[in-house]
Amino acid sequence: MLGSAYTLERFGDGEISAPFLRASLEQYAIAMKSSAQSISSLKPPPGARKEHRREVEAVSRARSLVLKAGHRGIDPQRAPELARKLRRITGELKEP
Amino acid sequence: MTLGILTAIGGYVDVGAIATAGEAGSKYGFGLIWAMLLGTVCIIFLIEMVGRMSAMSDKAYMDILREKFGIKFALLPLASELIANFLLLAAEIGGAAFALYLLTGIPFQIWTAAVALALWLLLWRGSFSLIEDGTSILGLVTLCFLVAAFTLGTPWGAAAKGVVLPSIGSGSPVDYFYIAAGILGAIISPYLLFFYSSGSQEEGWTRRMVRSNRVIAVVGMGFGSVSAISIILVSAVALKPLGIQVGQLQTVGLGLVKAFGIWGVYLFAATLFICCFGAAAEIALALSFEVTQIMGWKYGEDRKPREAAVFNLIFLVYIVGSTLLIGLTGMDPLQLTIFSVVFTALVLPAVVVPFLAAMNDPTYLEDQTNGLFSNVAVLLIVLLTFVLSAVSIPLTILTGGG
Repeated sequence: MLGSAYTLERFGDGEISAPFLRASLEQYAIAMKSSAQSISSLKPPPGARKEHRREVEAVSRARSLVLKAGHRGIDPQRAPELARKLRRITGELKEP
Repeated sequence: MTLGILTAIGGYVDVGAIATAGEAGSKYGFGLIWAMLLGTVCIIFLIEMVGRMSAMSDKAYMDILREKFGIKFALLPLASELIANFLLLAAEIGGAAFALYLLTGIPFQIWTAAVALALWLLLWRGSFSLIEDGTSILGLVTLCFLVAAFTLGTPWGAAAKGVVLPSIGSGSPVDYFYIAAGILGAIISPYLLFFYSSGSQEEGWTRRMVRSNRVIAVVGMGFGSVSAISIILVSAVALKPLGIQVGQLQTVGLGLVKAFGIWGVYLFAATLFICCFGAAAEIALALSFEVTQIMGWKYGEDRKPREAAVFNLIFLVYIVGSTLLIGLTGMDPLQLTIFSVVFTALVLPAVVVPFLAAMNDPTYLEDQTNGLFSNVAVLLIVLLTFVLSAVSIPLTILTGGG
């Protein structure tokens, strides 16, 4: 997730080409799908179900953002905003 | 010299090695450079020996395996090589296509057919010297990682400390040793020996090449090692502080983007394409060499196709099969590499143990048989290959293949 956020930031700065961004986001979305599947297949301990559900939702939300940007393309000016959203989601995942 | 560099490209900077080096640096900083150095020492010894054997005997290693141990014995390493290298060839074709995907945004499965056609045309129409010189000269682009390591201000003292006192940090020991085994398994790859030995035959080496062979082995593998260590350094300096872990190929390129801006994208795509394409040529040729040498058939990249029809047919069949595997299934090239490295590690002892016997046979090496030092070195490498063989499957299962 951090890789995709960084890629978007560099795209916003004009340091990454549009095809590289599109290809990267597609690949990150594939990786996030498999991460989400791995996490959801884990059985959380009874006290951690809520946190587990939150993690699965966060990865799915990130994947959906990355996938959409990858498919439709994104304006360089809007890329930093999407990167910020992804970083926020990463922050949510790190919260206890 | 170009034979050494081309051989090194397959071991050090092919699709799996680029991703593994990037993963090592982004997760463990300088903590896995030791694995690269250990693998380099081992492969320099093995490459020097197999080159010496070919120069002295006027035969390739597989020819000697067949003659000395019989065709039945030689079939075991051959069968394992056929499977492992089939997967690896598919991964390299996929890697070259992935580079074009990063440049154009057109899905890499579509590019696989174009890459395969270009590869076949090169092997069919091109000479051995064109393949080795072309790949080696273009392969120098990998040195952009070394330049990036300087540009990004690598703390050399800390890197040296990481080699002497490697640290796992907060990472998982299982994952750490899995990556270490992956690095060693990719470098000590049997097909490198078979290819180098066959290449020396293509170049018509005689005993006069014994000294030059030492230089070629050290410089060629040294080039590969410097390139791969540079990838670790760049990932350690550029990605690890940002918390970015390499799990996909394109992430390795972000280190170059940090160093060179937009040029980093193009340099990474060029590096990935040239190295994967070169490695694919090396693997396809190695496969043809291995089969024809074991069976005692005519071989040679510089022979006209009609003079070595089976040799040419084998790489054609393998290129078509590998392209179908990666193009139709859309399998991740990195996943294929993992399977291939695990499989290679399993059969590594079967290739390296007979090596010791052959290197001490004056029938082939006359007065250039191994001395005590070289024999101890091979024994230690054999021991290492047994360890790699024993741990490869459990580590793959425990980490879920990375």
